Amino acid sequence: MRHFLKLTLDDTWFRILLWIIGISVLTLIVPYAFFGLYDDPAEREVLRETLDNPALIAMIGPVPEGAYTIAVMFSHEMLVFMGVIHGLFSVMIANSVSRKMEDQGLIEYVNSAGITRQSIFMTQLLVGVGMNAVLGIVIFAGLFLTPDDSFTLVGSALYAISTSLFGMMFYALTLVFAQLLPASEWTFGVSLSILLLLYLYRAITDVASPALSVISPYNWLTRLEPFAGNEAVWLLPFLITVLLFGLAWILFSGRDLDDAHLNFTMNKKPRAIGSYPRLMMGSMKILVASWLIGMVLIGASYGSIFGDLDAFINENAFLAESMAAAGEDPVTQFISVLVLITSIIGIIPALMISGRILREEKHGRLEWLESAGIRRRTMLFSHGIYAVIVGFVGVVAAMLGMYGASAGVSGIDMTLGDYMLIAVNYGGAIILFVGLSMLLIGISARLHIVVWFYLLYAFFVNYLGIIIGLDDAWRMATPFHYLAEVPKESIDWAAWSIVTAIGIVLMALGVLLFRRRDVG
Amino acid sequence: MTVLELKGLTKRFGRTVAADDVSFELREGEIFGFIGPNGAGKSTTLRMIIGALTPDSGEILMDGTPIRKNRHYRQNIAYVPGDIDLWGNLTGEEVIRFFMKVRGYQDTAHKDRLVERFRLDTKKKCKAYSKGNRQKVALICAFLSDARLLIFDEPTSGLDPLMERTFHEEVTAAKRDGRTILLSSHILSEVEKLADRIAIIREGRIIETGRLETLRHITRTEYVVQAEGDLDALKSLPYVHDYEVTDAGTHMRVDNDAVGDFLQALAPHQPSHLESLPPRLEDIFMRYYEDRREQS
Repeated sequence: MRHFLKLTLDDTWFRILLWIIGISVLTLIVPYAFFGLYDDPAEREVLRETLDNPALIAMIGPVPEGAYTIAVMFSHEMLVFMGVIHGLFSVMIANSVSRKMEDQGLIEYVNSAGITRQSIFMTQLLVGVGMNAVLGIVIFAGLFLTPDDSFTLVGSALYAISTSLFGMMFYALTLVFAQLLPASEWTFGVSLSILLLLYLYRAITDVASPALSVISPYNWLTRLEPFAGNEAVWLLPFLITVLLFGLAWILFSGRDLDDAHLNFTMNKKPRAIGSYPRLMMGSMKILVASWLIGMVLIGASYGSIFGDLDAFINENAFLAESMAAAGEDPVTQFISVLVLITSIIGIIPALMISGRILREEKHGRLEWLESAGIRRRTMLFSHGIYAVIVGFVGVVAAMLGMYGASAGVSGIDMTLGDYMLIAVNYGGAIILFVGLSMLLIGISARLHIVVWFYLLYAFFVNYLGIIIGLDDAWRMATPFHYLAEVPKESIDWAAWSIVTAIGIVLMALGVLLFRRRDVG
Repeated sequence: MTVLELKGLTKRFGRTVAADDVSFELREGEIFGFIGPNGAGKSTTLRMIIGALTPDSGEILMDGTPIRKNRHYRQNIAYVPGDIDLWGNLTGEEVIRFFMKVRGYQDTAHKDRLVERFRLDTKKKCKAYSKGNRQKVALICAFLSDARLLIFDEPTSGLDPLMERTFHEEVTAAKRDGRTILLSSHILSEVEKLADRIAIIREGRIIETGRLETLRHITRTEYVVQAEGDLDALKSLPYVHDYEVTDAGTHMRVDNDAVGDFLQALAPHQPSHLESLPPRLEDIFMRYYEDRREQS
């Protein structure tokens, strides 16, 4: 047991450490961003008013009662969103120490060497509990030491404990799916979908009917109200984690290794795959299909709150007047924010597809395919073009979802054509990101991670730009600064052409470099 | 006629020199054995030939043309990597069909025959395959192709002895069809059985190239001697190695370049029986390693 735990930690500690550092930094620097900007309670009150609208409630949850201190503001703006990140961390590590290890034959191997199932499961459990506990301690200490009186001991503890428990819950859930599903890709995909679907469910219900939102664990975080109400009782629902661990153990002990409780093997006729693009598309069917469904859901859930958005603005005569005076239609203003965030999310599947060629390289298949006469440039182009197409179709799907869900709402003055123009506008950004991805692939397999950091950066500066009014200078390093904020503004075709052209040049450069570099 | 020629290939990865001035040539219709221990630079060399790696210096010529100038040269090559991860969700059948389509090859009867010979269950998904089965998929794809040059990187490392024999038969058949074969291996008996000529690589350098017979000057021959007298005096001679007394006689390995001296030294002991066993590649290797150790 001790030995297997050590082996597992030796294998994963570095990834765990990077995640812990990443999440802690992301969490703990935010209060400092507020200092200076929001020292004055009156300023915070103004911000609270602007956050109390359906679009932002859908994104970050309802506004808490009571004084809006810096700490309350921090937890209100961060908690739900960081829940996704904590969950992602746990899902990835849980999958890698359970189903992935099993797929690689490692579990069977250590099992044959005399390490019992109990020890294997205990190790998986301890890794999950331990890493979330360490992360919780770091965040607790960091928050408590934040130089502002509003970061109280109880509030800091509640924030840290709740996010840790949230992570552990998804860790346990992933272990359950690791027993149910036949491969690590499935375990990861299904666990991640549940993590995101619960977020979307919370987004819709927080706006439409807050009482129903309580089914989603994200809402438990909201109801805890760290630093404000400190309703510690909302930690109790997380006890479900214990049941999930128990269930995972029962399922694990009651099956053969490499078997699964759910199997979807169908005896199909062999498919005739005759070209690399078809091979590539075939291998990413599930990825693409689930992302497209996800994009429709994201669009639909944002679209479903447009009615509330309209009602909200009508109730706030002052807001409506002030925005009208500034020449801006408030509804269009909010829609512009939502479609921007949606488009950034739509870039994720595009980057996954272009980066997938690195998996072919890592597994030694790229050179094998090449030795059979398939050119490298064909392979990289196939990935790049498919990435752009899926990215674009994803945003179109989200726009259709948004259009469909808001079709019955009066006062929204948007045609289907307007939505399609939004997709075209942000299509330029997709091309730019895919271009950067291809350039990095062309230089070195290891460098590709940079494009993900760039996307994360772009997401954060835009997200924070909206919520706390981060200086626009930060956005200048992203294409979203230059592309028009549709539908609030109409498309700036000159800027769009330049962004798109840069993307295409990067793509071509990537292919040129990729033809020459060593692979494998 | 020379099919493939390597001229002074050098490849560095950081500080390690994976291939150092590697040169050899393959003639049409021969089986060329490329042997060396693990990590000696065999795969690096093969991967430069197929174009996965670009040499830091040196040149590769296919049919007399540098491959840099003819990007279509791969049409004449079929390559089987040492270990390959196939697409987990495709069946073996689907992978083989994919390669047939890509290479424009339609002889399904030939495919069925090869699948039968290698006893591969092609209905299974690749992720369920063992290493040997994945190798079989790649081998079938290679033998199916009409490539003139077949390149195998340790092709039998996952195969059982029966399948190893099937592989040997298919290689021999390919040679009969006039195809050229480059076979890398660290299993010496395999290369010894099949290869017309060999190159030995060690720490990135080719240490010997040539026909097996001509290489034997650097090898040792094993002698089994029965004699009236006491042979122990031979044990201390510098060219006698692995001296061992058994029921069948006294075994010893003698450097081939000292056979004359050995026979002279043996004669006074009045041998009643003298048997010699042909040199094996293992012996070549052992001698190289020992020389190396003595130098260092």
